[in-house]
This record gives sequence, C-alpha cells and structure tokens, in this order.
Amino acid sequence: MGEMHSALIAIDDLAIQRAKSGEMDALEQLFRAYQSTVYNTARRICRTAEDSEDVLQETFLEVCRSIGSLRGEGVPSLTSWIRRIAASKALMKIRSEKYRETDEFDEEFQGATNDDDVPLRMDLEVALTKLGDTARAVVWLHDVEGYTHEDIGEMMGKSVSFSKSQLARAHRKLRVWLDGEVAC
Amino acid sequence: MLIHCTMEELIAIRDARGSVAAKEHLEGCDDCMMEMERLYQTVAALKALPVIDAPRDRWAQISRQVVAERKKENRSFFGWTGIAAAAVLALVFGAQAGVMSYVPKHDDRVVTLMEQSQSLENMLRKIKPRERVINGRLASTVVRIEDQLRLVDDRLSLMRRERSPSGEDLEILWVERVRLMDQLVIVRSNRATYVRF
Repeated sequence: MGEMHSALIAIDDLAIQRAKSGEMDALEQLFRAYQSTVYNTARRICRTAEDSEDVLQETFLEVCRSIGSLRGEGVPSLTSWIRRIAASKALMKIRSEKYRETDEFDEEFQGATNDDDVPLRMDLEVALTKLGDTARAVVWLHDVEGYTHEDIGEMMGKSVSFSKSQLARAHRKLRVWLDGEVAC
Repeated sequence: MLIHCTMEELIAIRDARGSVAAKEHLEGCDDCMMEMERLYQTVAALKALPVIDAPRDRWAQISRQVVAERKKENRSFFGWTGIAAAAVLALVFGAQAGVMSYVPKHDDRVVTLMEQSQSLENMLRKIKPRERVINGRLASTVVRIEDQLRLVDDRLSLMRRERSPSGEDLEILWVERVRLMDQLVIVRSNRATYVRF
C-alpha cells in the first residue's frame, strides 16, 4: 500500500487532466507515481525481472495511448485502471508460448511428485516462485491485489470456478511448504 | 462431525461466501479454526512481502515510443485530410481520381458526408484557433474531440488500405467524422466569439 500512498501524494486531478490531454510531463508524473506498483505486480506474477520490465513498459505505453478515453474521475479510478492494465499485461505475458510450455510441465511435475522432495519449511518468497505461473498469479491477484474470482476469471479468459480451484490448490501447496504439515 | 473444512471452504468463508454448514463446522472445530488462522497468516505475510522496484528507468524508452507513435498518427491524420480534400476536388471537377476508388460506386451519401467534412474543416481554418488563447477546460475538450477524430481517421486509413470497404461501415465513420468536426467548429467558434468581445 505504500506505493499507492505515494501515488495519492504525487498525482492530483489537474495532473490527470493534463495527462489526458497528452502532456508528456504529466504522463511522466503518472509513470513516476505508479511504476513501483506496476512493476511489483508484474514481478510477483512473471518469472523474470526482464519480463516484468516488459510488462512495465507495455502497461505505460497503454496508459499513454488510452488515458484520453479513461471515463472515471480522480485518483482512485486512475489507480484501479492502471493496476488493471498491469495485471492484464502480466497475465498476457504468462500466457505466452514460453510460459505455457513450462507452466504445464510444472503443473504435471508438481502433481506427479511427492511433496517430500521439497524442504519441510520454506520461505514464502521461495514458495511463491515454486507455484505454477497461473496459480501464483491467482494468489497474488486475489489475496494481495484484492481482485474477485469474477475479475480474475475475466482477465484470464477462464471461469470463476477455475480461479477458485487454482487459489485453493495454491494455498494447499503453500500450507504444506510453509508449515511442513498436511493441510485440511 | 469429523469431516473437516476443505481449503476451498475455508477460503470461501474468509471471502464471506462460505456455506452455512461449513461455517457451523468451523465454529466448533479447533483444527479447522487453526487452519483458518494459518490461512489468514499466509495472506498477511503475502501482503507484507517487500515491494520490488524496477531495476532500470524505462521512461525514456516509453516516451520515445509514444512520441514516435504520435508523429505517425499525425502524419496519418493530415495525410487523410489531404486525401479528403483531393477527393472533394475530384468530385467538383467530375474526375474519378484514384483516391476515390475505395468509395463504393454510387455511394452518394458517403460523398456528401466527405463534402460536409471538408466544408467544416474549411470553417475551422477560418477561425484560426491556434492564434487564440484558450483555457484549460476548453483545451481539454478540444484535445478529446481531436483524439476521437484521430481514431476515426485511423479507421478510415485502415479501410483505405483494404481498398474494398463496405459502404455501410464507411458511412458510419464519415457520419462520426462530420459530427466531431461539427463539435470542434462549435467549440472553437464559441471561444472565438468570446475572445472578440
């Protein structure tokens, strides 16, 4: 939430209006205020820093191109709009060919392997990266960013029950990896 | 009851959409209550993970690309305006110039709309908006209309490249272009009147 707070401080309605008019210095102001929020979301969903930087760039290109059509007024609607673009771009990235091949492999691998293969307890950061790409994205978007299963399903092009089952499955894994015991 | 809540049920209860039966079980089961507490702790820990900052500043690349795209759009916008003007001239002189070849034959309505659009552009030039000072709100309205115009022109350019657009689609776009040009003339001329007084 810290970066959201900095966005609230740095951006006002006038800056938003100027950005909507296409003024580059106002658009840069938006970038400075939101780059941390956007990069962090991307970094938590994508596997590499390089991919996350691509998401950051693609998100702000989209912001610069489309801010004129943003209907809502004020900082809250701007914030949720930018965060939504970032989440969509990150999900597009993990849907790419490169990710899809290995995500499917990871899921199969994780399904086939015994959980004894992983350390009894592990750090949350490590556990998060060990989840499959889709499961990790669902956990992050639902539990941290606060998106509903309906939102996530829509953004992923999947059903609500897909999002729910991915979340439960991910939490079962996290539960085992973090506490070293069998969950409910 | 010995059947504990599943992870799905615990998450559903946490999200305030759990079943009554699962909630009742949770309230009376220490094991499930402990699992729920762990779930809360995991989510709290996820939210408390440190923010990761981008290693490099990407603004320079983004702004370069935005500027390049705008130049391209402007070229397209002014290019199209020129083509529209040429089309009207061709009509006036009864010539079926190459630039008109994308308009479906006998589509008088589209031709009329193109003429109206050109006439509004001429009116706009006479107002000489760039010589006048406008306030922020007005500037924002003008920019919004011009942005919409650019979108229409982009779509018209695409159609022109396709060479065989449907007359109906073309008409919709030209109606929209005339409407936007009309708005632009109204906004600009109202301001011009105001400035003269």
